[in-house]
Amino acid sequence: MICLIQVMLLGDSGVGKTCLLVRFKDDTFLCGSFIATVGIDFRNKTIQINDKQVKLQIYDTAGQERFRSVTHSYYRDANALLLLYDVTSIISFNNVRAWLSEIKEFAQDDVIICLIANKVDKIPERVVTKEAGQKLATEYDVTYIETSAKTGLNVELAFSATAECLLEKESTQNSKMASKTLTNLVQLNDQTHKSSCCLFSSS
Amino acid sequence: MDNNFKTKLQRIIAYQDILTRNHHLSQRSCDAEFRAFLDFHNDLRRKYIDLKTRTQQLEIQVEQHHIDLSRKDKKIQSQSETTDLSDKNCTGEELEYERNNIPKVVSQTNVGGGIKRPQHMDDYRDDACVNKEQKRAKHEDSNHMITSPRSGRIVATTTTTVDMNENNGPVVITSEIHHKEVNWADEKQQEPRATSDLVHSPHISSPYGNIGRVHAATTSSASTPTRHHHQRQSIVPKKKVRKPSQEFLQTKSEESELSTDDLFWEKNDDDNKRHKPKHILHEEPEVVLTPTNIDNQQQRTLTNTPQLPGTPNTNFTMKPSPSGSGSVGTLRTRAHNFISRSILMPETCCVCIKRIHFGKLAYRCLSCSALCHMSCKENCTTLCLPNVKTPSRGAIANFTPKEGPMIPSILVHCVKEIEQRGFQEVGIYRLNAVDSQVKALKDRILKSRTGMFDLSHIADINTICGVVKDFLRSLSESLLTQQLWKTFALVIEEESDYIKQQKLELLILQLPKPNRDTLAFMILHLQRVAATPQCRMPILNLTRTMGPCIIGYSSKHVNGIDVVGETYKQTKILEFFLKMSSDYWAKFVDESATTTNEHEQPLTPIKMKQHHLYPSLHRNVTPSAPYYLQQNNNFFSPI
Repeated sequence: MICLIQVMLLGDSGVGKTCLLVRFKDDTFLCGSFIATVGIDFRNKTIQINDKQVKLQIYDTAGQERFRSVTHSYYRDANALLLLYDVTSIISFNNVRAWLSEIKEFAQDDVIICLIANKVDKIPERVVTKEAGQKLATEYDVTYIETSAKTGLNVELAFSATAECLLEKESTQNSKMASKTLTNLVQLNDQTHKSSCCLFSSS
Repeated sequence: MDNNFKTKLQRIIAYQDILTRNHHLSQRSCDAEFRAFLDFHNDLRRKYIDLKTRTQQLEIQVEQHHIDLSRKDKKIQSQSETTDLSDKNCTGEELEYERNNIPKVVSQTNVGGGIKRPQHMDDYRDDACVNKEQKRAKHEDSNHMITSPRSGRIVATTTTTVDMNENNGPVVITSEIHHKEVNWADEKQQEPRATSDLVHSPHISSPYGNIGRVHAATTSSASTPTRHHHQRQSIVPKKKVRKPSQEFLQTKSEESELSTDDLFWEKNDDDNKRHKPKHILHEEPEVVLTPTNIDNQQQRTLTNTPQLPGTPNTNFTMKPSPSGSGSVGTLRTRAHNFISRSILMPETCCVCIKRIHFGKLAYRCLSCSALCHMSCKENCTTLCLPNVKTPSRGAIANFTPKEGPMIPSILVHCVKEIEQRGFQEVGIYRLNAVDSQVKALKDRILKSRTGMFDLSHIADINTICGVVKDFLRSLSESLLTQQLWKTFALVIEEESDYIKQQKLELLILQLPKPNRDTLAFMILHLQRVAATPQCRMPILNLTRTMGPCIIGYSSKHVNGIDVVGETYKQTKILEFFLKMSSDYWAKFVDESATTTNEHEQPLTPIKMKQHHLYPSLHRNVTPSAPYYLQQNNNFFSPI
């Protein structure tokens, strides 16, 4: 039986939501393009987790302010939300709080939220430290993960860990436990400190 | 037999003739001919539509002028007995000054230009009449009037021709000023040094330099009764006027009556009658070389383009018409009309954002109510736009001035700032700003009573972009209006670019003027953004980020499914708009409500191409124009 999971990508304009999705779906990087998303878009990908087929339906939203109200209506059906910010832009990080409060208001109570710090490959331009990100994540009790759509760091992990913990949540009916598992999974498999070559052969 | 043979031969020859003719006829492709005919037909149809809209516009204008005329006549009748309304902006101090100087000034004008001037005026009036006839003729057979020196001159004066018939003191002044300006234009691009006798007057560097001049002009050209009035008034300056007219009060400088003044201005904004005095106020600063005016000119060169060197006739072709319509996309620049007043309620200076304390003298601009310290005046770089009492929400028409290009001043200020320093920013208009900051800034601009439009201290340019987006988004109705939105969406699905273009142009003409002007203004701005490679915001990107703001949705509340469909439509519409010629959009921004806009033909793509061949002849040549021309040449491919 194929299990269907709806995941939404959220975040400010230009933080790399579409790039992250394309990296996950096609394992390519939209190099040099700087194209905004129209309204809302979605892609499917089936992955295998513990001998189980999981179909991920990933909604890619536009970051423009106008679409925030539109995406509200999609929150309700989403099982998991991936909230992105750009480590080179302090504004996108500051807006995370606004996003989180909106999520609290409109999404399901037991939704799985994952805070993703994107573009960590840009080390010289980085302005938001890992500590600041982790602090915010613990404050709102969400999972923190650092990714880079350009190098592919942790991208697969972010989606697969989310899927795995959703599966567990379904079987145990306990959302508290599930988010804990997610955090553990992420910490176990975090590749930030491993050598960056041959990322996908290991996973 | 022989005869028989002859006739046969003749028949054969005739037969061959017919055969060859037939052959010739069949050789000519009927397709090509039909296409030519179609072209011709389309051309005629377009011309017909153009003419029809133009006639409508002209009729409306004529009607407006008639109404204006009758109203002003009444006003003059009622006011000629009570007060003299030509006395502008005079503090007691200046009146005193004038009392000492007036004989000199009068004699100056009499010697310098007084004798010549009436002749000029006649000349000028003739010109205007001729011009009118020309226009009419032109109108009828839709000839292009290629800008001749004469027409260039006329362009600068069209606004006043109607006013002149009224024998109205102040208006005569303005018309004369235009005339002067035209003269200047002829010997243009010298230093802004004195070219006319008036500039030689000793107090020219003072902000009030114009007053003496205006007086002089009035005395020489106004009708006699007015002059008597006028002189009496200026000689006895402190005399209390028993029943001050509204105009008098409102333009009179106020040392003491701060509160009443405020009331007057607020009342006046709702009052339609403000039209005339405002008009005059607008004109004056253009001629006078006060420091602010010089500032203004610098500002103009900042936003405006360096003129194309070596092109003939640039003198007048580039000259903005007196109503202040700048060239394409440049923001209408106009000097502030500052008057000094003492501050009773502490207010904030719009230049240095510091308090102006109780009892201090400060400058307030009469037209836009900007307020600043005496010392800050030179640094005041904000644009002077008519002050509109704005509600916090509503349709676009609530935010626009009642005349001129109807563009909300909040947009003009923001766009000016963005164009000055935002063009290096990657992802301008795309990146988000902090919501609360955007809201706060928007509120500040909309509610400002003291012209706090200086945005240079806002560090993050994206906040200003956010204001633009938020403002457009929060309008109660999309710029394309609720009635027409669906039609636009239908038309954009049209297959042929050519038909699409035609239909859209018709639809755009149906939009209310505020919507159309604002739309054109924003499109021109976005075209400049798209043309800047550093921004990395090509048209495709801009359509997606700005589509929801500029084009909007068919109604304020659309449900989730429709939003997605309409979003695609709106990006398509905006894309098409952005690819349309900038000249087309510029003509909306350029025309001002008061000008009879004969000079500019409603342009159609084909005509525009003709203009492109002679860019110097076209009045609105911008720096970005060549870029778009290239683009458009392949865009508007023939059918």
